[in-house]
Amino acid sequence: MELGDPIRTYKVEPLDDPVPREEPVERPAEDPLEAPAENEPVPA
Amino acid sequence: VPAPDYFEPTLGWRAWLVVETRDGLRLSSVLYPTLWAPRDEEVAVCRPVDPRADDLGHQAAAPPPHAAPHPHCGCGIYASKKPELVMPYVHSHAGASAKSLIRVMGKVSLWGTVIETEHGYRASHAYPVRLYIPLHRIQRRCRITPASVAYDLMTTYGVEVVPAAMPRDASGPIVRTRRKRADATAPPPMR
Repeated sequence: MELGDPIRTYKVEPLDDPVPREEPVERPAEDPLEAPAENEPVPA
Repeated sequence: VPAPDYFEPTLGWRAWLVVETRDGLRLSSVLYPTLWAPRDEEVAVCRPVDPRADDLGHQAAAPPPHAAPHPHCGCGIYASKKPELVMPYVHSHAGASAKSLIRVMGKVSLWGTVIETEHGYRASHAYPVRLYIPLHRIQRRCRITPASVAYDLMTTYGVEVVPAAMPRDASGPIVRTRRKRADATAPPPMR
């Protein structure tokens, strides 16, 4: 493609990413941690 | 580190080949066997063999190894300011192979280092924004339907895909708008 002679050079740093990156795969929520039983020793 | 001059990408026009690969449909450069990766920016690299070399292999006066684009080299990701310049590449057969399905044109975001020229830009980074796809051109013998080509490109690259006519004498893609008259005939069904 014949674009002609250069006129100027400049820098572009987009504030928003121009690339629609891969969306993270949604993982099922993990079960909440169970509280230790009353008679279960709690680690120091 | 010099401060950037702009915070919005420059927009230009390009043409691509749509090719079938092991991983699905991909956009490819029309003139080089370069596939544009989905959901990742295309980054310019100055190729060691300058296409401007003459028949005897003499290189044009290219600068020493450098980051692309360089003002004294032809490297960089090309895009034009107006779609007219791209139309010949949509109708050309250069670069076509058995795996190429169709040629599309579209708008592309350019950023990083950008060299503005009289009719376009050469940039260090690029990604398509919107693709215009001439659905009627997909050959009947093609086992992939036009609708699936459009859908695949849209989902793979995460960009807008617009069906359009691209007659040879047009200055750009022609997008059919929905008719408003009540007696308007329905658009022809997609193959």
